[in-house]
Amino acid sequence: MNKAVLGSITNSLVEIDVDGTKRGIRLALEKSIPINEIFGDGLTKGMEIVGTKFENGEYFLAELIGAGAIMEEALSLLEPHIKVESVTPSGIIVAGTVQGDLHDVGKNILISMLKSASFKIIDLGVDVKPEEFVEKTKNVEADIVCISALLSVVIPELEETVKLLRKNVPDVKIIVGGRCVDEKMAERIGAYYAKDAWAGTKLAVALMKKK
Amino acid sequence: MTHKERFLKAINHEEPDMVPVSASLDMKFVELLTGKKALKEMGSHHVSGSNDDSIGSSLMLHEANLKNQRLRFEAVQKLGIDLYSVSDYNIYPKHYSPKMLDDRTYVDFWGKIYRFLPEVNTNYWVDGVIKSVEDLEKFVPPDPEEMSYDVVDLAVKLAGDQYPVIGGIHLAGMFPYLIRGGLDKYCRDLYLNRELAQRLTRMVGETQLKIATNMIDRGVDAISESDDIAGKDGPFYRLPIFRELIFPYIEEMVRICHRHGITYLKHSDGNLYPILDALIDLGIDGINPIEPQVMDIKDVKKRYGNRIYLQGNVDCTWVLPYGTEEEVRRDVRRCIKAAANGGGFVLSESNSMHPNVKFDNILCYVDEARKYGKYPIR
Repeated sequence: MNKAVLGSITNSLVEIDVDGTKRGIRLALEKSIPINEIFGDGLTKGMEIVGTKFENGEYFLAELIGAGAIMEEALSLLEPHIKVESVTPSGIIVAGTVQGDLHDVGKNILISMLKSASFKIIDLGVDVKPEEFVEKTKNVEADIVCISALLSVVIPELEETVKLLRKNVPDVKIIVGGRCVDEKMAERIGAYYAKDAWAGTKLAVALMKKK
Repeated sequence: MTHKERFLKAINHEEPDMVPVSASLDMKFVELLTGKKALKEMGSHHVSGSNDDSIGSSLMLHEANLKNQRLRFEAVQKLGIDLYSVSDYNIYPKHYSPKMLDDRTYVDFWGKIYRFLPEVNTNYWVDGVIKSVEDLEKFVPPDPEEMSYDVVDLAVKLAGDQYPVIGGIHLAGMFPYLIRGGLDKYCRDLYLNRELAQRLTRMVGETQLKIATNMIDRGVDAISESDDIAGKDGPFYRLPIFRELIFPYIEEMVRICHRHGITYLKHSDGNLYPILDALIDLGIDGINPIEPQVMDIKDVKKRYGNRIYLQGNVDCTWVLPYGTEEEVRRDVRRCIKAAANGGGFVLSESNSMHPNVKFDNILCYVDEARKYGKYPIR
């Protein structure tokens, strides 16, 4: 029975159906299905299928964002029932757009995906100075820093930020992404590259497993 | 052969004397080419020009727009390119003046919010005013019949029968998500608040369609619709969403263009492959810019070159801002070689000659296009 309820949560999320997902969550709570099962076997499984469909070109950005938004709504339904031990944060991530760049759509999508993968996010917003990235990363003892950059005009600032982080917080993992970044460039400046929000989320999960 | 004849012949899939060349110039380059100062246009779409006097009144804004449109024409002539554009970004309600939120941030008449960042000499869209259904209900869209089209009249007059005037327009594909405050919010609406997305898109689509029609009535020679609907990973939405919300306006605009005997060029950054067949089935005549990082112009020419003309795609992400002269020349030749045979090709950069592009590389781009772009292409 639990399997059927969890399956309906997964399917509804894959169909990007907010009402169906919420119905499934309520039913699961009524049936006292453990939170970690609702989260892991229902929601996370659904999100993984959405991610695979995105990678395969069956789903696009709207579906990725829609599913992320439904995850947020689902988590808010679960929140009152979550005990401290039931869902442990996957890690702490500091995120922001590089100095000189005000485009935050990509960063916001990534944050939504990372939240759905249980990361604790410190969102520094847009136009973030290199020193601010460093200071916050140190203060919160972040595991990962995600930096987004859209226009090629801000590439020098991106390089400077990565350089400063490398120097001052050598153990932190740095993920860069955005329109003006590619794998080669990320490698050159000493950062990991994520081509989109879903790739960034998978990479963050993988980096935490390595730790 | 005039610039206009060259352009028209090319987009009709014939080989003119040489490949027509387009360049969407930032005002910084217009100033460098003409040796004249442009006026700041804050409040219409972008901040451009270097005059320090702020444009505070609708009259000043109007004068600035007309002056800058004249300068753009001079720059096209000086640079020796073929296409002359006039954008709906510079068409606005009569007596319009921007609502300044602070000395760098303003709201335009569509409720899009922009901010100027002098550090990188660029303005950015930052937000939109529609946060809820209630905001949408209160919002009054511009009346297309109460807008000033003087800038179009001026462009048509200046171009005469020598230059093709390209009417740059927007329909339902982009403004809705800018007015809504971001693509993320619009995408969220598509699945969590569909009615808001539908109503907002309809309001924008219907209004912009009328504005574009009024531009055609004033004599532009071709339409270039510039809604960005894709990113590096592909289109923003699945095809059924495009068919429901965005495509009806493109289809109607195509009909209007063809009724007037002019062509419809579809621009969008990003990877359009997954919806390219569907777009072409709507009747569009051309596509731009075929972003080189994610689409291959040679492949598009091979697969679609008999149905649409191509406009693109010299790389403005790396080559034009950071490349050497030889790299620019090589990229120009790459595009011409891949797409110019048999006509149906206009050379352009892969988005715009933005402020970060090297001025010398623009000159080099045109020079190589003229040298290598003579038909027959070798």
